[in-house]
Amino acid sequence: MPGLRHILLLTAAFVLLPCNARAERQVVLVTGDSCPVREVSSLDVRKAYLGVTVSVDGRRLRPIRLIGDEMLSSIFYQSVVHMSRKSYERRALSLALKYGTPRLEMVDSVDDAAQAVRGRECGVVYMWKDDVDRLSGIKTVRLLWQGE
Amino acid sequence: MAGRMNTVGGRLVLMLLLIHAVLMPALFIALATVIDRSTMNAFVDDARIEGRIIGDGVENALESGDSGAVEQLLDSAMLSGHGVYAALQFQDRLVTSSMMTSEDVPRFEEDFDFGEHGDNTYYMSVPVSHGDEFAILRLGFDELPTQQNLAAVRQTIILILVAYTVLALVATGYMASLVVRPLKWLGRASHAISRGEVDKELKANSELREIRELSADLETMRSNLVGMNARLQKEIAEREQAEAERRTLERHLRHAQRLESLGTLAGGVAHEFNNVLQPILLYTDLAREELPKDSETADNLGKVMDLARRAKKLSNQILAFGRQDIEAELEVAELSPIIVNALTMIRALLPASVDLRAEISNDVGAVRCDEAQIKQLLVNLCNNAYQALSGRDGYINVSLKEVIVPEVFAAKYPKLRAGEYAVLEVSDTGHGMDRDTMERVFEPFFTTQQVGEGTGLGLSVVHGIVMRHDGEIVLSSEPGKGTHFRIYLPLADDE
Repeated sequence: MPGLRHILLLTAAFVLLPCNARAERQVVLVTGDSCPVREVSSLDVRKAYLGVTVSVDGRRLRPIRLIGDEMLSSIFYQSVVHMSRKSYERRALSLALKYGTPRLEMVDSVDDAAQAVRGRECGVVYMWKDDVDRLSGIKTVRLLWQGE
Repeated sequence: MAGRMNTVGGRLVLMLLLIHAVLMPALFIALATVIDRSTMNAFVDDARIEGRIIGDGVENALESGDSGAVEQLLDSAMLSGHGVYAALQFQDRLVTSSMMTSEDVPRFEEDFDFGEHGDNTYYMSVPVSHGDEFAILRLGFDELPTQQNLAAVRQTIILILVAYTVLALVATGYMASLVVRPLKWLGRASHAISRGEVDKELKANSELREIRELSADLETMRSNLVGMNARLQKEIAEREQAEAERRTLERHLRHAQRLESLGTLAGGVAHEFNNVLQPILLYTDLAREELPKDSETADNLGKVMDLARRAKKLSNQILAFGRQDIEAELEVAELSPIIVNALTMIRALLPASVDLRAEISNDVGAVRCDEAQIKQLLVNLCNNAYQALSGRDGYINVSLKEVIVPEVFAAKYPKLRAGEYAVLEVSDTGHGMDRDTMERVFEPFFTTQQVGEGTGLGLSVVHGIVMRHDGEIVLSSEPGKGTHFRIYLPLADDE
């Protein structure tokens, strides 16, 4: 069943997270503190994750994917790139084969993601707002999703 | 039922049913899964694209401060596709489509996959920003029509698979009949052959190569069987014929040996009897010459001499049967003049009422013979025929011709050899003889006539004469249908 995994993840999240966090969860796009970009539009985020070169305030965005969190991935497909997983993967492969666009960098954990954006100029990655609060050297540039 | 399943057709259908029982559900599950996933994926894609478009429109409308456009976009989300929920969640308020009443607003539970939460609605949220504010566009799409479509597709798949199964069964039945029909035909033909109808050809009319080859092989076996059977039957017939010929030859041999023994015995007695008769005749004649011719004693002695001469004639006939009266040498002579001459004499002897027919060929080769004995032979045979005709209407037929005796015929008679023979035939339409009579007819003193009407030596003399001429007598007769004597006399060599 396609939704069973998400239900289990959500249930686990409800059990593990504190009550106030369970009430309102957010997914945000973050970049390193060194990046001068302050805000990125939803269209630019979408374009960047579809493999199109996007520059904001004269700085090129370098998107990174956090794939270790299944729930986060589902939100990414639905509310960031607005595609099904299959369509997105097909699209990314098509761009790679057609134009030689390099595949996006992928990391498994939030810590790796934070390290990645800190280490690259204007590297961007999506993560839970809760995680951003406990990590240093990164800043939010866009609210991507909000839900209960 | 079990018997029906133990046929080629039954096994094929059963096998097909088993295969389909396993494959069809698997195929259905695979097809349904592929179609379900593809359809659900397309639904999710459509919903997300629509959400993105409306979200972009709402973002633009918020930036331009056109709240009416926002409501219109929310309404259009409700009207387009399968929209059932459209609302914009600000930090402090909720803006819904005008097509929704506050009672209609359901609990929003975001879905990330088709069919999640079991509420038949696919809920999704799209983040929208304007200035420093952040809002969430919440949309809901009705999953029910897609689920109904999927159910219809599943039904169609089931119908197609069932139709395919039925067609496969029909095709299998047809294929089975293609195989079974010629096999059944071959079976019936084989059964007929086993009942002895070996002429029934084993040639099945089938387009299948294997059946044709099987049929050809069976037909070859049948042909060989028929040929072998015919050869066996021929061999059996030949053996039976050889056995019959052997038995006939043995019978003839036994008959000839018996007659020969009888002839030797009778000849010996007749010879001794002649030795006694000769002085009786001599002394009786001398005694009669001493007496006056008209005296009663001379007359009595004359009677004694007549009786002694008659006795001598009888003993001579017995000697002729035993072939011990070899006085004259056999000479090479044409038979036809002898027979014609004898027939003239016989016609004079027989009553005018007797129909004596003759077919004498002048092309018959010469034989080594004693003319007098040949005449005697013909007279005796005609006399025998005349006696057989007594009191009946009929005729006597005498014929003479030349024949070539084949090996097969010669093998039946001890005296015959393959080669050229003169055949003298005497037949009558008299009372004929039974088998016992035929067996004894050449024995001396055997007669079927009343006492005093015949001596029973006529045919014995005939037998003796024929044996002396190295010939053979072939007798055929049937009671009421007459008698047929064929006398085979070997033609003389050319030198």
